[in-house]
Amino acid sequence: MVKNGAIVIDKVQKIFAGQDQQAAQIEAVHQVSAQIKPGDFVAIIGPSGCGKSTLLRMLAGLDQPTSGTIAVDEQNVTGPSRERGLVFQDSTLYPWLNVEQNVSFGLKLAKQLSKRKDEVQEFIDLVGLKGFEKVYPNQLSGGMQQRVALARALINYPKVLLFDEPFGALDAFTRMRLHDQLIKIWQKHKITMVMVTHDVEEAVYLADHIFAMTPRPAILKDIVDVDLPHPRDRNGEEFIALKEKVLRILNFTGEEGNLNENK
Amino acid sequence: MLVSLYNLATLKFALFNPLYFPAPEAILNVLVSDWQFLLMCLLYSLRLLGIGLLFGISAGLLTGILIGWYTSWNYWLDPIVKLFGPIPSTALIPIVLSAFATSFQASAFLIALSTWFPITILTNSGIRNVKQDLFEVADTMGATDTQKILRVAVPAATPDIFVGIFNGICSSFITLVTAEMIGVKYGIGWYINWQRQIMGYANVYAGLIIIAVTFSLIITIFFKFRDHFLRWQKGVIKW
Repeated sequence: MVKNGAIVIDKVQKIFAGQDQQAAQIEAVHQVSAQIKPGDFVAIIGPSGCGKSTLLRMLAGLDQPTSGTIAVDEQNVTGPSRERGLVFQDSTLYPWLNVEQNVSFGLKLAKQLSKRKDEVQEFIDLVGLKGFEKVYPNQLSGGMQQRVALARALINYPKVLLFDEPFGALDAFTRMRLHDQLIKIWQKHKITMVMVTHDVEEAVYLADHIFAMTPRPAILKDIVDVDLPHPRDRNGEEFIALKEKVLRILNFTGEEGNLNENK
Repeated sequence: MLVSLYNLATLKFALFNPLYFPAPEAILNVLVSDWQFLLMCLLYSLRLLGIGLLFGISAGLLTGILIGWYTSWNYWLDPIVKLFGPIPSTALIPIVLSAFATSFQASAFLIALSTWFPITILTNSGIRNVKQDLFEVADTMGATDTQKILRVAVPAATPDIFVGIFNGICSSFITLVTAEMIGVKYGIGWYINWQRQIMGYANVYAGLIIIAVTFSLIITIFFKFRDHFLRWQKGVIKW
């Protein structure tokens, strides 16, 4: 199944105005340029508060860049759209809707629910939540909630799926299980995926390309390509070498670098 | 227990003046012998209450959504709400009675007014407190503004809206009885006032019992509705 979803980021800059005239402007993202091929899995990694979430929000169209452009399939991003799904860190499920209704929310908005009713069950099964259709979000665990959020985004067949630290609030075991599930879904649907994370292992385990960012303002420092077949061995030699490489780029290996980061 | 205590105090020992505190038999007698007239009064009251609540709740939801969602509506309407809302609607009785053609319309208006205010305020605050994320998710699924209001803002605000409707219903009871005592012909409030004037205290008590039963029934039905609508909050709501 050939899907589009090529992203071109061209000299994107984001400056947040200060609270008042005197306050300094804050540059969150500085002149980031990058290209993402259709069907790629990209991880954007960097320390907390480095502006990587801002970059993701601009990809989604929820924030506008101060200068520069973002284009998906040669169309400039000017606002949010069904073609770019988003999964947040905290579950943003609608608590008044049960699992089934949450998953079908996008179809309902687009008035396609009657035509595509069977697909709702398909996507619930895909994320492994068969039997939980009628359950409300506050009765689900954090991991299950994120899987519902994933199904809710996938059912709209977005060209690009964006993740903002989706597994950040989950325990390690749930996280690893969801990694494998996500890779399976990605291989099946071949959607371009962009994930913001601060977990190096997560990035190396999932992504084809890792964008390493430095903080304030966020500058794209380097791109690390991960050329390992899935499923990846978290303890493999190459895996660990790549992890170290990313950490080195982010200045987290030497004691000196560590001190600089924590100043 | 309470009834027999009351029975002893009034009938058997005549501790209180029997004119003002009639024996339970006398009250029961009124309920049995006068039931057709009482039922008619009750139906009149319910009709007035129903119409007032209907207009009050719909108007409250409408203004609440408008000032909760649109900044421009908020700018113009909010001061008006804050100015007129806190006025006890019974204080407006003299003006409203002369402004409307019939006292029935005037009373319906007052009931609607007293219901409208708490619903407006709480719908507004409910919508303003919805997490921004919920709208952003809807944005990435291509939601229009109307869809965001009806499918995200309003359902997310339902817990607050129900508090508003509860407050509204309670103040509508007060307004109903007061309005009936002053202006309207027929109705339970009117009946109580009329019987008081002709010293029929057994009838006054009978009327009060009917009011108590009816109003608590209405509130019970309201809670059933709320439990159904907020079933997703099971275990979270504590009122």
